[in-house]
This record gives sequence, structure tokens and C-alpha cells, in this order.
Amino acid sequence: MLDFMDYIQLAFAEATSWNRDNSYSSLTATAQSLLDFSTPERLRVHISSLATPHFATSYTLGTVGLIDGSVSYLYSTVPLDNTPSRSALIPLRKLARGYRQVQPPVAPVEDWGWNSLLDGLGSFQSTHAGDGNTHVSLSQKATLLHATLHLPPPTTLNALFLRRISPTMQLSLAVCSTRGPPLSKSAPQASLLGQLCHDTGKYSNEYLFSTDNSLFGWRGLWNFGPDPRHPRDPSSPPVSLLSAGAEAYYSPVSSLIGMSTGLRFSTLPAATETPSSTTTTTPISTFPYTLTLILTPLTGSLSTTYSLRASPNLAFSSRFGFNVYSWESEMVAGCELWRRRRKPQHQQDDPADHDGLEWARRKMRMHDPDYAPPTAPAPAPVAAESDEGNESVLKIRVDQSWNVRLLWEGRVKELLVSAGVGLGPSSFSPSSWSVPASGSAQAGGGGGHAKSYWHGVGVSVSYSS
Amino acid sequence: MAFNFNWSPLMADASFYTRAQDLLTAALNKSPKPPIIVDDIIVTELNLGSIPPELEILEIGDLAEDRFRGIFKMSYSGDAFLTLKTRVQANPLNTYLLTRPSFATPLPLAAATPLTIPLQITLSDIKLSGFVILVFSKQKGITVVFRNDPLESLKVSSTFDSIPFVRDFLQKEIEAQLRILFMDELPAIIHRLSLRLWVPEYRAGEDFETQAEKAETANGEGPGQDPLASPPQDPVDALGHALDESDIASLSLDSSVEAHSLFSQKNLLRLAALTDSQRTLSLFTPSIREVVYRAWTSPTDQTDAAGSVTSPVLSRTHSQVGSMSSFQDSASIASMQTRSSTPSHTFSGYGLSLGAGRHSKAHSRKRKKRVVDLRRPKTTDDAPSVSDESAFTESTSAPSVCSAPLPILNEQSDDPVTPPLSPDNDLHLPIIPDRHRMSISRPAPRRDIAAEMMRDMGGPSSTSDPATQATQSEDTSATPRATMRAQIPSIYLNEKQDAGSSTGVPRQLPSAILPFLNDNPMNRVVDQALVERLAGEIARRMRDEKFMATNACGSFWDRHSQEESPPPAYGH
Repeated sequence: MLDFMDYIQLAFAEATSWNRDNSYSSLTATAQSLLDFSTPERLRVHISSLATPHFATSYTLGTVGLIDGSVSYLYSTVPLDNTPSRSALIPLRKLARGYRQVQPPVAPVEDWGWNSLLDGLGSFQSTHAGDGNTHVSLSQKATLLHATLHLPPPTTLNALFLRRISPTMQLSLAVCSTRGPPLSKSAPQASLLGQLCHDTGKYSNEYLFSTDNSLFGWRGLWNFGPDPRHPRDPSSPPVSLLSAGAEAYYSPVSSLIGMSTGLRFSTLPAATETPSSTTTTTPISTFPYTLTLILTPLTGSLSTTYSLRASPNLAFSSRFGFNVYSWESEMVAGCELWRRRRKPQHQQDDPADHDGLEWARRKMRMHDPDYAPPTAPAPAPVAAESDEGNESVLKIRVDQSWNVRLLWEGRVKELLVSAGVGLGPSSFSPSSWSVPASGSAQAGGGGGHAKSYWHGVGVSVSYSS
Repeated sequence: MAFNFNWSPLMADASFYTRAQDLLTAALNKSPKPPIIVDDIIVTELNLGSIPPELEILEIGDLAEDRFRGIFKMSYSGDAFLTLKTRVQANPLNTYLLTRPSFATPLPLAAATPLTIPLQITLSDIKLSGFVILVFSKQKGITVVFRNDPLESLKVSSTFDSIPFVRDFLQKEIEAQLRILFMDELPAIIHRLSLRLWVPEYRAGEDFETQAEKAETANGEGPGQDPLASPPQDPVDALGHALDESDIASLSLDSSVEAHSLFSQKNLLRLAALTDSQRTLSLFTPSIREVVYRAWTSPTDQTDAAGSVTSPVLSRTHSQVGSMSSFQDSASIASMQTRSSTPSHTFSGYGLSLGAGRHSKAHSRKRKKRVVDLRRPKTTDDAPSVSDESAFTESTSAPSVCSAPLPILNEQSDDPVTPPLSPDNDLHLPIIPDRHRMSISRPAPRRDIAAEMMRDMGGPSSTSDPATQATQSEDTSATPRATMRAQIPSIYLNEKQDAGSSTGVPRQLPSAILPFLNDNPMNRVVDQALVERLAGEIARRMRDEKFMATNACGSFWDRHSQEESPPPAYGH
């Protein structure tokens, strides 16, 4: 489940019409959200609020080892008016990312910024202040500031600065500073990561630089097919999308090097959402699906994923990995299941029923014929929203060494609850291939690996307003 | 003054290497490993080589019977080697990301895919030179501290020797790791090894509690305080006397180590207090149990006479049991075969020691000397045999009546030397014909010869026979033996079953002893001392082998019963 701050950042990206998915780093987003989801550890409580459209706070309390917590603040220059922030109203599909439907590439809104978007903003502000203020806001570019302070004594400060430079460019600076001992000798106590993203719809490039070991990085993605910047006839929308990308990292200081290439084939909504084209049998199946192939030439690993959304409420994914050097292999399968619990309609009609005293009122009404029951002001939207709000999702994944993880995410009353359990014979680390059990199971006098079948049980409860 | 360092026995002993490998593996995995190493480091091969290190005594700071502190200059350029096996992460980006908080790292899509490679490293041509501070204490074992960084150079050969970059990296990393090992870990390892070598309780504890105990120590939290984790403050020998380290050193220098028959004074005191409390019907026994006994066993209270009033009695009974067992031990058996009058000597030996056991513990040093002296006269001296038998019978009868049952019962279940077994066999001896017994027992030829010799020299040994018979009958009458009688057939069964698997040790002895035995009647007078010594030496070695080879207790028992089951045939 997405953090509240991540959700706000997502809302910021939407508000500034920045397509986060058109990047090489989200090439396997579907498979990652279905296979590499993380389960909460023990108990964790989040309390967040979007106090004003520009300002959000979040507090986290957790019991991992000792009690730890974090305080975060976020400030955005773009008003996030249309973002539902109450935990009862946030659509769960946005928080619990499952199968991601790949959208056809769209050209960036060339005039989104200080003309179109800020038109409304300017008019909104001009009602409050004079012209000078409007000019300031016009020249101001969309910026997001975010900081998180992790509080137990080895304090860690994470800060993020995000700025839309131009309709196709976004700059982000991330700082991480910790007072604790570094995990390795070469790791500094503070590092800054600068990232410049350039997205044209047809292709996207990201340039990275980290002060830690002065690491340079580049990520690129190319979408095959028609160029969205020069739209042609919209009569036949593309039904599939083929994307190719690559990434490379290099550090001249520590001669770190790494690279990978990837390929993705995915169906587009046009393939399945046009029931009119049933007569012309499309070569694409009626299910949305995504295929990816990732090659890492330096370490000789290749991995393929296949994700499929069988129905709007059911999605499957699987991944096969193989390393040509070490001959290690990996197989992971996972699925997600959305459940929609419909409440009886009469409860939705009467908001006064929430205190559970409806039976008493009914009895009173029986004896008091003059009593006029208060009518619900707007029953229809409430019913629709609560229908959305009562969704819950169950995710499960299993790999070749029978590491099973289960995650349930849903809503209990006003709270967003995510409960998960991981069990398996060997320890599992995300995004790493599990070491074969023979290698790590018996290690002489190690004794550190306690053979416990349960890895982590946790509940995360979050409330936001 | 001279120091004698034995380097070769370490090589000859296979179990030493396995132990050392285990300890090294544990030590290497204890400290946080560099993140490039993704698996446990396993020591697969360890060889100390044949060239010993050169030691030069620079200074001896403290020298006493129970402690030693000195500074040595050590230089080593031998042929020892060590082979490690582990798995390393070959993708540097993966380790880079693992050691950083994930917030400000470029989260790559797949460039950080791990690639683990099994790695085998051989360390050889180790050159050391440095100053070593060696502290030996009776209670705390050996502590070796390097005053400076002793590692001069070493050669690291691995599976990546063809790649110079990786080779250099490994060389650098391993040298750094080894420096840590020498400065921090090796003292701990040596300390533990010394404890294992000299403190039998420590070893027994480690042998008994194998995996669970390891896990507990790895977690650093055991259930309460483990009494076996600390060395006993006062090791006691088979006769119940407190040993000081001159005895320990003498035992360990000829590495004979009858350490398996060493008991802790702590346990004896504990049992004594238990029986005492039962005798006095004190009601708060269990509450005292955990607290008071430990206070009594602390070395400061040892001189306290009041606290140890009851303990000499118990230790005497223990000494009886222990010396019976040592009498049945292979060494004494072997010497007994060569000479007919030997049984009386062993009795005399422990008769004297029993007499000494009546004294208070303040005289333990003198007493112990007498014990040490008496072990040797066993081969040469005949004189005190007759006079000591009476003492022996006296002393055995008294403790076995008053307070023996509890400790003896404990002995039957716990101790590897099972004293009551041999008297029982001896009681059956007249009933069972000799040939039948031979067919049951494995090492037939030795017994045969021994029996013949016994019959040949029946004259002198006949004097000791009534005494032994008498004591045995007394002993059996005084102590409940029903359980032992039930156990004996099963032991015989075990012996038959295990005969095929464990014949190696018993067969060595007859082949080695036969020539001496054959020679014995001819020039018996002249070579007697030599023969005795040789036989004792052989038996001692055999016992060492057996002792070192038995990590599991079951085989130990079986072999012992195998040794003991055919009793020496006494002439009638």
C-alpha cells in the first residue's frame, strides 16, 4: 500500500500532468506490484492529513524492535484540491497498486503550466490579491518539498525537492542524511541524488547523479509506434505498445558499473475496451496482458514476466529468471484478487444508522406517527462512494523455494488496513534472488539462521483526513 | 628451565582439526561480514603444517604453579594453509545499493540483479612475526594476545586468480580480515580450545549439548547461567583431590589426560550438600540449592574447613569409584597382564589415596604429590602392597555404607567409566567357563595370553584375591545393583553389535603387546621395567586415541565395556 506521502506525490504528478509510468524504471511496474509487494512488519500506525491543499503532514509510529517513528511534511505549490485525502474516500485502487494498465503514449501538454493550469489558479488568486501576486504565481513553477525525519536516535533525514522545469522536464533532488553508523565503510553519512527527467511521450530520458561515490546514471525508454506528438488519424487507435529501454550506471571513483536493457509488450485499453471490433478478430486476446523481458548483460541474468488481468478483479503474474553465469534460476508467481463488499442498501440510505440505534428509533417511530424521518441529503453519491470504499484486495505470491507472502488491504471503518504475513523456509529479500536452500541452510557453526517458518507478520493501520 | 612445545600431536589428531574448523567457522561468521559476502564462511580445510613457529622468550613476568605470564617473540613461516568457502556478490551495484538507505539511491530496474558466485580461497605461505603475550591461569585457561599486528604476509589464491583486479581486491580484503582475526578472534579461539583441552566439564558440556547449545550461545542468551560455560574453579582428579595446574600440565604434557575421570569439586560438593540436607531433614533444600552451593564452591571458600566437612567423605567415596574405574582402565589392564602383582599395586595406590582423602583439603598439594608418585611406582615398586590392602578394605567399606548410594547411582548413569560393571563381572567369573567368555568377548587372544600368564604367576597374586573378593562382595551388598545387572546384558549386546565397527582400537593392543608378553617369561627379571613402561605407554596411547576419538558418548561406552567385559582371569 502506498504511503500517504507517496500518494500525495502521485497526486502532484497527476496535477502537473507528469506521466510517471513513461519511464524505464516503471517498465515492470505491474509485475513488481504483483510479485514484489512488501508486507508490513509488526504494527505500524500512520496518521496523516492534507491540512490545506498545499500542505500535508504525516506521522508514523511503528514497533520494529523498539518503537520508532517518523514525522513528515510536504509542501506543494500546486493546490491539490481534487485529491481525496480522507482515508475513507481515497480510492483503494490508487493506494494498492495492482495490475497497471499501460496507457498509450501521450504527448506532453505543451501549454499545461502557467497558461492552462494556472489560468484557473490565477483567476483564483486574483480574486484574493492584486496583480502582483498573480505575476508571482505565474512565474512560479510547480514545486514540491518533502521531508521526513525518522526519529529513533540514529536519526535519518530524507528530503525531496521536486520541480517541474518545463512541460517535458522535471528535476528532483533527494537528500538522505543519517547520523547512525553507515552500513559499510564506503557509504557516506549523507548523499544527494539529482535526477533530471525528460519525457516527450515518444521517448523519455532520465539522467542521474549521486554524490555517493559520484555515481552517474542514465535511463531511457523508447516507445515504438506512432509518435504521439504528431497525431494522425484517430480512427484506429493502437491496440498494443512495444517499448524498449535501457539503463546504465557508472562511478568513476569506485569503478562501479551496471546496466540492463528491457523490452515490454503490452496491450492497450483500445484492444479490450472496444466491443465494436468483435467482428474483426483482433490478434490480441481479450484480456489485457503485459510481457516484459529484462536482460542484464554484465551479470548475465535474464528475466521474463507475464502479467495478465483475467477480469477487473483478478490479475495474475509470473516471473522466470535465469542467470547464465551462476545458473541460478527463479520462479515467482502471484495474483491479486479484488473483492467488493456491498452493504445492504437500507443502511446506506440512513446515515443516522451509524450509531447502531436504529432499532430504538424504529420503535420510537412506531409509537410516534408524527415523527418524520430525516431524509438523507444525497443518497446516490454516498452509495457509489461507499461501494468503492468497501473494496479490498488480497495479494499472494509464492516462489520456487516456497516463500509465501500474503497481503490483505482494505478498509475497516474509516481506517485503511494492510495486513500481511510472510512465511517460508528461508529468508526473503526483495528484489534479490533467493539463495538456494542448500547453500544457506547449513552453514557450519553459523547458527544465525534460525529455522523459523514465519518471517513477518504485520499490520499497518493508517488514518488520514 | 625449558619449555617443550609439542607441535606434531596437533597434526596427528584428527578431531583437533574438526574442532578448530568449527571454532574458526563460528568466529568468522560472528563478526559482521562485508556486504560482498552473501553466505556464511565455511572453513573446509585446515592444516597447521609441519614447521612449528619459533618462539623466543623475551620476558617472564609471573611464574607460579598456577599461573604463568610471559612475553614471547614469535616468528612463523611455515607450511600451514587454510581453505575457506563462501559465496560472494559479483555485482558491485547490488552491494552498493544494499549498503545505502534506499531513499537517495537511483533505484535501478534490473541493473542490480544479484549474481552470487561460490568462492574458494586458500590462504598459504603465512608469515607471522610479532610479540605474543601469553597468560596462563589455572582457572581461566590460556590467553594469548598479540601485542602488535603479527601478520607479515600471506598468499591468497582463489578461484579468481586469473582476474588481477579481483585477486588484488581479495588479497587486500582478506589481509584486513585476518588482522582482525589475529587480534580479536584468535585469542578467543585459543582460549576456548584450552578450556576444552584441560577442563573436562567444558568439553563434556559441549559434547552433550551439541546444536541447541550452539544456537543458544549464538543468540547470546541461554536459559539462566550455564555452569558449563565457565571452567570449574577447581578440577579434581579421579581420586577426588583438587588438582592444581602443575598436575594439569603434567597430564597434558604427556597428553595422556585421564581427564575423563576428572570430576569437578563443585559437583561433589553439591552432592554432599544434598545428602547432608537430606540427612538433616532441612526443609528449604531446593531454595538453597542454586545459591549456597555455588558460594561454597567458590575458591575463596575452599579453605574454609566448615564448609567442606562433608565433602571429604563424598570425595572419598568418589575416589573409590574413580579408582576402581581407573583400575579397570585399559592402562592398568595392560600393565596387569604383564605382571601378576599389579592389581595389588593399584589397590595399594588408591588405598593410600583414600587415606589421604581423610585429611583436610589444605594438604591437597602434598597429597597430590603422593598420588603422582604412586602412579609411577606401579611399575617398579612391590613393597607397600600388603600393608595397604587393609587400609583399602577399611576405607571402602565405610563410605559405601554411609553415604555411597547416591553418588554411585549417579555414576552409573553419568560417568563413562561405570565402576560397578567390573565387580559384577568378577562375581560371575567363577560361574562362566573361560572359553565361553572368550567367545563372547572380542579381543580373544589377548585375554587368552593374559589368562595363561595369570595362571602361571598365580602364586603372588593369590594374596590379593581374597581382599578383592571381599571388597567386591561388600560393595555389591552395600549398593543397589539391580539396575546394573539389567544393564550388563544390554552392554554385551551392544558390544556384539558394535564389534564390527569398533574393532580397530582393541585389535591394536594385542598385536602391540604380544611380543612383550611372549618375551616376558624368558627375561622377565631384566626387562621388567622396560616392558612395563612400554606396555604402559601403549596403553596410554591407546587410551588417548580412544579418548580423543570419542565425541559421541555411546561409542565411548561401548568400547569401554568391550575393554572391560572380559575380566582378568584370576588364578584359582
